[in-house]
Amino acid sequence: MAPSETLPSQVERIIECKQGAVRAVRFNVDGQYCMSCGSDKSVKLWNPHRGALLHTYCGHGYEVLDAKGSCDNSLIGSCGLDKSVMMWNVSTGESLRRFRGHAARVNCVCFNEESTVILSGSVDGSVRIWDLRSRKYEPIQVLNEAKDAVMTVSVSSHEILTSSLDSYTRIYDLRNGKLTSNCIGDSVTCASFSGDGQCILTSTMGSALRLMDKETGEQLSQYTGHSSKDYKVESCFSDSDTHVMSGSEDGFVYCWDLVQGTLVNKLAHKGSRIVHSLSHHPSRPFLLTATLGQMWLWSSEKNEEDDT
Amino acid sequence: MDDSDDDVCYFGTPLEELDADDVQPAKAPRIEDQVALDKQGRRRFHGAFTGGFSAGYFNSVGTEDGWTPSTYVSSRALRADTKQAKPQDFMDNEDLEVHGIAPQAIQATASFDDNEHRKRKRVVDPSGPIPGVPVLEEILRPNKETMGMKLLRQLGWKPGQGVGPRVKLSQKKVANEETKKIYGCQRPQDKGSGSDEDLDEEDCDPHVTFAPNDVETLHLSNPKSDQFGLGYKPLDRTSVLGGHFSLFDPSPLVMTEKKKKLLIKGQAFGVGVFEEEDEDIYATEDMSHYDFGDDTVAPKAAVRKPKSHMELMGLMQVIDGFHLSNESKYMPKKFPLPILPKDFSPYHKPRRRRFQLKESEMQGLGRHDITSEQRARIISEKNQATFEIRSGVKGKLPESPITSKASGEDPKDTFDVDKLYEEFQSFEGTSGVGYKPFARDEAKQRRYELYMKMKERGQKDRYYLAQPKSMTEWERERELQEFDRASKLFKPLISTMASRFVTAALGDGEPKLKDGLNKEIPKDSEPSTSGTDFLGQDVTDDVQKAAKMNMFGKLTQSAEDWYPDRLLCRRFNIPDPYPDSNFTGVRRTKREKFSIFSMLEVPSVVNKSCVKSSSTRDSPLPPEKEEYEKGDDEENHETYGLKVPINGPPTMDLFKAIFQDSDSDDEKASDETVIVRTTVDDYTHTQGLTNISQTVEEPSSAIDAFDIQTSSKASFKTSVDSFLSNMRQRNASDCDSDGEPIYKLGQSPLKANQKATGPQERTRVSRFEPKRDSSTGEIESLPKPVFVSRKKAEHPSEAVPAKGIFANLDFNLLNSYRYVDQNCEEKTGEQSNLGRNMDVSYSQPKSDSDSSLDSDETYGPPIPTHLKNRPQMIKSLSKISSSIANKNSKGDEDTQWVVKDEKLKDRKQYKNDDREKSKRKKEKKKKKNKVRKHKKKTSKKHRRSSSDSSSEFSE
Repeated sequence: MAPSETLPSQVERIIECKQGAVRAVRFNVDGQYCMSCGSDKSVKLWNPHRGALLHTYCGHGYEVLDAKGSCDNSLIGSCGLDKSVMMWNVSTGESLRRFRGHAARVNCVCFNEESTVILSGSVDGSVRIWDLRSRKYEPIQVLNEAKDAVMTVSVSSHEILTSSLDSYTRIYDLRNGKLTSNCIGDSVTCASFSGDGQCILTSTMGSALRLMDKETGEQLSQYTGHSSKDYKVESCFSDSDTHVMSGSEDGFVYCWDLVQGTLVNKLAHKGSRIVHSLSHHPSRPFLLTATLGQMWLWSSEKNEEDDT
Repeated sequence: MDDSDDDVCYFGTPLEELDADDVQPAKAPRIEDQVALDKQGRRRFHGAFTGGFSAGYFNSVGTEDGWTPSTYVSSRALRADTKQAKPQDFMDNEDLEVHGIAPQAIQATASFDDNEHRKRKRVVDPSGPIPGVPVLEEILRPNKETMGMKLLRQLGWKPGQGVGPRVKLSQKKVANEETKKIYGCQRPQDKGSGSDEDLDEEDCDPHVTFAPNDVETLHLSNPKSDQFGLGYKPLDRTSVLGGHFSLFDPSPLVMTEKKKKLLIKGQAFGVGVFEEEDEDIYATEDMSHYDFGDDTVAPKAAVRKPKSHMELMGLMQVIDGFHLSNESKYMPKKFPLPILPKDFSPYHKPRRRRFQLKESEMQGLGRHDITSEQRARIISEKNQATFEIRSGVKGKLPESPITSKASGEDPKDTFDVDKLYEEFQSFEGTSGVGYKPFARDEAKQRRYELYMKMKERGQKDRYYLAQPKSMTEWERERELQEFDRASKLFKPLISTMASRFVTAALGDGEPKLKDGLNKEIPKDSEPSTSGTDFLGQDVTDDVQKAAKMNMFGKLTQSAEDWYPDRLLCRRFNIPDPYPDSNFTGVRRTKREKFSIFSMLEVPSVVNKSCVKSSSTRDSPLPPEKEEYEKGDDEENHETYGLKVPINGPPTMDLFKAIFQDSDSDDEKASDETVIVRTTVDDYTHTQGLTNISQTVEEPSSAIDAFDIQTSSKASFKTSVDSFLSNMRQRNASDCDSDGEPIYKLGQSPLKANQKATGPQERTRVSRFEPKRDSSTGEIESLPKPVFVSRKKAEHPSEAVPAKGIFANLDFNLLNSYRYVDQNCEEKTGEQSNLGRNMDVSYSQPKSDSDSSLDSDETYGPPIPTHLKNRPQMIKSLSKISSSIANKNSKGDEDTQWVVKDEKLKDRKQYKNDDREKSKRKKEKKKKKNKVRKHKKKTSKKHRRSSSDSSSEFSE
């Protein structure tokens, strides 16, 4: 199998996170560690490659829905059903700040590239941008153009990409001062920039993944086969942008070739129904997936051989 | 018994025999004497333990007065040496003992293993002054033997030797073989073992025996060493004087400098030239200090074994002799949820006790405890009694209008109501759907929904049909206003607001919510952001359609200017794209800014459109009169408002407009002869006598209408508020004419149609409003414009429904006497009355105005005018009736009434004189002294009977 050289295809480890249902898994910025967000109000920091639990961050008032690590690995930002965004000191585990302001649960958080601000998208349809440099507790700016829950927020060097359930993706271009909204027929559950920042991968509820051109809003490719009807199922690019992956509600992770749009691989998660969250290693073929209370680490065979 | 003595074995040492004399009678010490003493013989527990309050004195603090702090005294000669107080200074001796809080003795920790010294220990820390194993550690070796070990020793066990009968060497060998672990491939067994055995047999003396092998200790990776429950971590019982005392720690560097002891520990001390610098002098936290494990993935075996399930789960450490299973044994059992019976409801229903009151019984009879309907039911039974009293005549009871209504017409009405509901059930209104402002009162909510539907269809004037008969007119009116207001407030959100909300697809209480998204949320109702016109969602639909058709690109993309916050730009390290602008966000020029006022404004427009749409329908009812396009005699009520002078107090007409209308309506409706008269009156005023013939025809129809009215009296005032206000104006302007709309209201639509040009139009005309002849369209006579034209003058009256004391007045009861009159009236011929009534009618308005004058001077809450006018009304009626009396046998009863009422009237006149009296009060006071004598003469009875007379006397 050709793609197995570069694609994660084998279960490396299954980690029982012991924090209730795992709502999200995220690699940190360099892929050495990962965070898992649990329904028991905790965020856990792992070394997924060894399966070691490094720290547990407790302090959220309700389920944690998303967490990200800052670029210098000194902070973890997390958000959850308690409508608040929390910042954690990675090493000590203490909570540094708690931003309140959203009117509903907060779906996603995202640092900017320099980790000077954190963006949070909420079910109240707003994205709030919180300053991490100052001690202010008010958001710098609120992006409330979305008409429904904001599902994901991601940031490139000068753009903010949001996806919301009102079936729009919005790109806020700071450099040009432009808001570009694209309608993707169905509710968008996940949108992410490609590695080169030219394309946007959107996954929608009840239909296909779409690769969109950022500039023109045209569809470049479409990936089908998975099922995403009820849950916030995430998608991602592989580390080298050659493949596209998405969770599914049938217990598989689907891998498509980016250019051809053909299904390349299906990673079966035994004993689980829904794979809703996944995160690809930023530089190497590792994939983290979350299902039920577990976190699965996938690796490629090639990778192993290289190491030995 | 010597033999037997020999047989008996004794264990232990016998106690010495006691002399009987020595033995003192054992007497249990009293409880008071049972005190614990400490070493010094002092009482150990006291104070709080024994319920007293002397804690601290007996043992810890030396004196009765308590503890005195040492005083600091220092002089030039005698310098006070700084004495460092130690915690021990403040402690009892007991505290420092073994069981105290700061034990001084050294004892081995529970986890110390005596056998440990056998193994050669690697010298971990050669940093001490003497290299090698610390000497102290060698010398001091705490001994710790468990009870089990002691017992085993008694049995002959020694460390390394097993317990049991001694065995020969050969046997031991065999045993060794069995337990020996074999690594790698197995040796050829028979040969090797045989040769060894032989060799040993030869060497060894067969008589030499060996102790059996010691049982191999089972080394658990983490044995349990305490007696607490599994997983329980007790508090560390360490001395209060400091943490764990480690005997063998390398002593920290101690320096003495200027008589001060310096304790140097850790890394803070500087480093020498040749030494490597410490990694972290200032002990700042950094990620590099944390060992997060191997940075690189550990190299693994080239041949990749398929990992077992347990291995994947991270379980690596296994006790010797165990191995990881290949399949996970632990599969959580899944039990299906119990199937609930269909009629199961998750609420607890308490069983009703035998003596428990029913809910209805539990309710009190207070005003607020029963609904209006219930109240009406209760009252309706009592009504008859009140009639009896009122009529003052024994014998034949006048038929109660309420009961007759209830018996005769109700079934029909309820049928109508049901039909109404049915009719509108299918009609799906868009406004106010889903919103339930009156959810607390189900019936009301139902009515509200019906009202909304009717309103949407433009048939809201029919709503009064659906209102329960038990409601008073005032209640009806108020409900209408309430509904109207609610419909304005809770209108379906206009597009600006609607775009911000999405109706929840699932209710809050529903447990089916998944943690992800919900596909059942309707997406089509959401307008897009950028593509929306204010007008419609066509653009949105286009975008959606295009997206659905995968025609992404220009169709689906839209761009706007977006103003990022300046600070945000700085944080992103990007120059502000709009350096001159302070605005942030997206400019929304297309949309109005939302404000509560805009929301309140819009519905009024909508209302009008509703009304207009309704006006196309042929409605006989007056509420939409102002909207009638075809009506020639259409009066513009906005320009001709209430007669309210600009300056000065409001006239009585205003009060009448507010308070009288409903009653006077009733009045006129019940007294239809009067109505006819008034119409004629009006008409003759304005249009001349030529039309009299037409009006003469009217009574018959009016009577028909009246029947309906009396039966469904409720319907008099159920028209919409605009109508009411309209009518009020008319009432205010012309008391005579206000009865007419009502009978019109009571009329069936058919009749109204037939008589579209007949007296109806005339009746609509108000005396004070410009009247036009239907044929010529000219204004025939203009009234004297006493009033100021006011726009929307109906608002004050609309906004102030009778509250306070009127809210609870039962107008039915108050008006009940009229029914009596009316009954009498009915029996008289209408035609014959007509002429006479005309006479009366001329006088009546005057009397009304008189009464209004009277009431001007009354203070306190205003009395409903009908009550005031009652005597006069009756008087006027009595004139009629007395005139008829000769012809009619019923006249007697009437006269009786009249007699009574005339008395009343007299009193009233006296009352009118009261104001004079009040004026004269001061004079009275002055004259009091003079009067006093006079008063004594006058009888007290007299004074009581009427204050007026007394005043007269006094004068």
